[in-house]
Amino acid sequence: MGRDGAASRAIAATIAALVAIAGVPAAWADGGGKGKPGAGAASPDDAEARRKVAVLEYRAGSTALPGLDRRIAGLLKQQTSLTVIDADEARKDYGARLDAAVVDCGGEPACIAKIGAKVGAREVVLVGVSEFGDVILTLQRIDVRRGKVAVRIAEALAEDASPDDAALVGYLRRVMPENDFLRFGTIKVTANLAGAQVFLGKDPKGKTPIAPLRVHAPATYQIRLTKDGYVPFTARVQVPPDGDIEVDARLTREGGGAWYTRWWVAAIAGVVIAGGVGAGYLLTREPPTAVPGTGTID
Amino acid sequence: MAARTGSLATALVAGLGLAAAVPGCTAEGSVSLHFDVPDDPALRPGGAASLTLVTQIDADAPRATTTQIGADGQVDLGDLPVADEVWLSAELRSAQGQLVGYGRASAPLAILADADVEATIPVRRPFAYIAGAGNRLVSVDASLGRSAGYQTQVALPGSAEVVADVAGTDLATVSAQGALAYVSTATHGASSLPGAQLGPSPTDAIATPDGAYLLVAHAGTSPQVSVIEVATGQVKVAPTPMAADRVATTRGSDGGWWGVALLGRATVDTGCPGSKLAVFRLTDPETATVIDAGAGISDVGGDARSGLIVLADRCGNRLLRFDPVSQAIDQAAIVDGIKAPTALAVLDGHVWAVGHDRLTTTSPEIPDGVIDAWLVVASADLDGDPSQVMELPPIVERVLAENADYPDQDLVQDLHANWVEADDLAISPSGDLLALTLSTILHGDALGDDGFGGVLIPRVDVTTQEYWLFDPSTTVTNQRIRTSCVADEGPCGAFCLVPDWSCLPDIDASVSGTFAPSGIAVLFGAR
Repeated sequence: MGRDGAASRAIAATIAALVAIAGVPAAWADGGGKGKPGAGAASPDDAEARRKVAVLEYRAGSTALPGLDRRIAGLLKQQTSLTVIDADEARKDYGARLDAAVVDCGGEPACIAKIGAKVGAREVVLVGVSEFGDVILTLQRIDVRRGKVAVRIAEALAEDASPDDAALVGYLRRVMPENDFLRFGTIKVTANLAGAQVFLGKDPKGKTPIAPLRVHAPATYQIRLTKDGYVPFTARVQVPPDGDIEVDARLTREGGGAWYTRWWVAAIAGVVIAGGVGAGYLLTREPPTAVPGTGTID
Repeated sequence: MAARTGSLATALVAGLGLAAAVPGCTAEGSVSLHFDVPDDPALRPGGAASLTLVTQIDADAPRATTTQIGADGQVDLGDLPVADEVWLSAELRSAQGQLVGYGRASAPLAILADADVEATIPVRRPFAYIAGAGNRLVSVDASLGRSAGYQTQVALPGSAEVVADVAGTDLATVSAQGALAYVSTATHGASSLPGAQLGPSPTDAIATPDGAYLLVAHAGTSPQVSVIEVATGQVKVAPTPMAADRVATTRGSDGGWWGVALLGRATVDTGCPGSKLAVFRLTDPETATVIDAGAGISDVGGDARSGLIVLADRCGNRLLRFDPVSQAIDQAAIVDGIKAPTALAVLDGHVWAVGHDRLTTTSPEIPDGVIDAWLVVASADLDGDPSQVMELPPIVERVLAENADYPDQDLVQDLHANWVEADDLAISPSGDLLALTLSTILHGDALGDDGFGGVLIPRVDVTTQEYWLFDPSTTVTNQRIRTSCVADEGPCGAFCLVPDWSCLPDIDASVSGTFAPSGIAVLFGAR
C-alpha cells in the first residue's frame, strides 16, 4: 500500500478518535458520583432533581380507581427527573409487610415517613383513596426526614370517574415542586489534553478534566473545546431526557505536522462529528441502564 | 492532490461509519455469573429451589431478584444494572424458603452496557464454625436446624484458639502458639493460602470483607495486633501497650482499610475502668495510635459500608459510633438502654448487640439475692433509626438427680441462672440470624430441715457454656449446643435425699465433647 493508503488509515483513526458516543453508567450520571474526580461540579439542584420519591397507596375500604399508585408512579417516572420507587420496588426493599405497614400507619405522616426511610426515599407520595358517597382522592407529599406533609390535595370524584393521565399529571403538578418537571441529561466531556477550556454554548464550564455537565433535556447543545496552539474542537449534541452523552474530544496541534491536522480538516471533521453525534443520539436515545444476566450453579 | 481528495473522502466516510457503528459499540452487553459451589455433597448447598441475586450500587438500597433454578443449574437473572461498581451477593433457598446457601463477590463488578462480563461468586452452605475444641473446629450448618448431621468437625493440623471467615472461601485459624493456617470452605481441607507464624496468645481475629487482610489480636507477653496480607502471608504488627482483647476492621471514609483493637475489655457491669483503642491503617499498622475510649468497652465491630466502628459501652448500657479516620467517638448513642452489652456484630449499616440483665431481691428466702438472669438483644441502624431492645426469657437449666433412678420417674430440679453473659456474636450474611457463644452460672440453694437431719438437697452450682443460633424475628433459638456443663454440689446431711446432680442432656451436646468456645465465625457473616 502506498502513502495515500497510509494517510487514509491515519485520518480514519484520527476522526474515529475525535468523538465516541456511549452510554454512561447510571452511577456516574447523577452529577459525578461519590468520591470521583470532579464530582463537585454538579449543582445542588441536580441532587434535588434526582431525589428518590416513593409512591405508596393507602385505601380506606375503597376499591375505586384500582392501580392508581402504579399509574401515578409511572407518570412521575415519565414526566419528571425524580427517581421513583413504585410499590413493587418498595416491596422488594421493605418486604412483604409493606402493604400492611402502610395500613397500620393509618395515613399518619410520621409513620409513613419511616416506611419511606426504609426504602431509601426522601419523599413519599401517599395516594389515598376513600369513599364518602363520592370517591375521595388525596395526594400527600411527605417529607421523610421531617415526617411531615409538605403538600396535600384532595379531590372529590364521581363514583364512576376515572381520571385520565392528563388529569393525574394536573394533580401531580399541584403536589410536586415545579422543578421536578424539568428533566435532565448529562454530557460527559473527555479530551486527550488536560487544560482545554470547555464551553457549553457560550458558557465556559471549566477545563479538562471536567466533571460531567448536567443539562436540561431534551435540548441541543454545542460543545466547544479550546486550547492555545491546538485546533478548536466543536460538536453539537442532542441530549435526551435522562440520557447520557459522552463526547471524547481529541485536539490536534495547529499548523505543521500531517496535512490532516490543519484547521480545515478539523472543521470538516467537526461537521462529521456533529452529524455523528446526532446519529448517535437517534440510535442510542436511551443508553442501556441494565443488561441481561444469566447464571450457572456448579 | 486528487489522491489526497480521495483520501479525505474515504476518511469522512470512515468517520460517519464510526458514528453509524456506535450502536454497535453500545450494543447490549450481558452478564454471566458462575455460582461456584463445593463438589463435596456434604458441603454443597442442598435442596436449593431458587436463587436470589442481590445487587447494590453505592449507598442505594439493595435490589433483589429471585428466580427459580433450572434442573441443569441454569438461572435467568433478569436485568442487571449497568454501573461501575455493582456489589453482588446470592442466596440459595429451598422451596420452603430456608436459606441453604449464600455467596458474595469479594469485589464489586463493573457491569457495562456494551460488553459481556463474566464473574464467579463462591456460594457455600451457611456454616458457623466454633473454635476451642483442640485440633478441630465444630462446624454447624444453619440450614439443617437440629436435624441429623447439623454438627460436624473440621480436622486441623493444630489447635485453633481463634477462627475468622476470610471472604467466605477460607477460614483462618490461629493456635495458642500463634500458628496461622487456612482451611478451604470448599473442601474443609487445607487451603492454598500461605500460613504464617504470628505472636502467641491470640484473642480474636477478623478479616476484611474482601479477604485481603486478616487481623489477629494478641494478649500475653507480647500484646499486639498482627496484620496479615492474606494473599502473600506477609505480616506486619501494630504494637499495643496492653493486651488486645478484640479487633475490628472497616473501610474508612478516606477509602483505606482501618483496624481498631480494644485494649482493656470491660468485664464488669458497673464501675468499668476505661478502655483504650488502638487505631491503625492496615497498610501501616506500625504507626498505631492509642486513644482513651472514655468508657469501659466490651466489644468492637466494624461496618465497611459506613466506615464506622461500633463500640459496646458495657457500664454505660449503650452502643457508640467511632470513626477511625477522625478518631472521634460520637457520644450520641445508637442504642441507649441495652443492659450491659458484651458482644456485638455489625453488617451493612445495621448493628446487633447482646447484653444481659438480672432480677435481684433482698428477700431472705433467696440467700444469694438473684432470682433470674437473661439476655438482652438490641438492634439499630447506624444512621440513627430508632433502636429495638428485646429481653429474652430467663435462663433456666434443668439438672437431674443421680442415684435416684426410679423405674417410672426421674427427679429433676430447675435452676434459675444467676448470671448469663454473651462472649461472642456473629451475624449471618443474610442478616437475620445471630450466632453467639455464652456462659451461664446457675445456683440452687440447699434445701434443709434442721429437725430432720440438716441438708436434704445440697446446694447445686452449675456453669455452662453454649452456642446458640438465634432468630431475633421469632425469638426462637434454632440451634443450641451445650459445649460444657459442670455441676458442683455442696455438702448434704445425714438424711440427704439426693446428693448428686448432673446436667440434663436436654440440650444438644457438642460433637467434639466438652470444651470452652474461644471464637466463632460465620461464612460471609460479620462480627
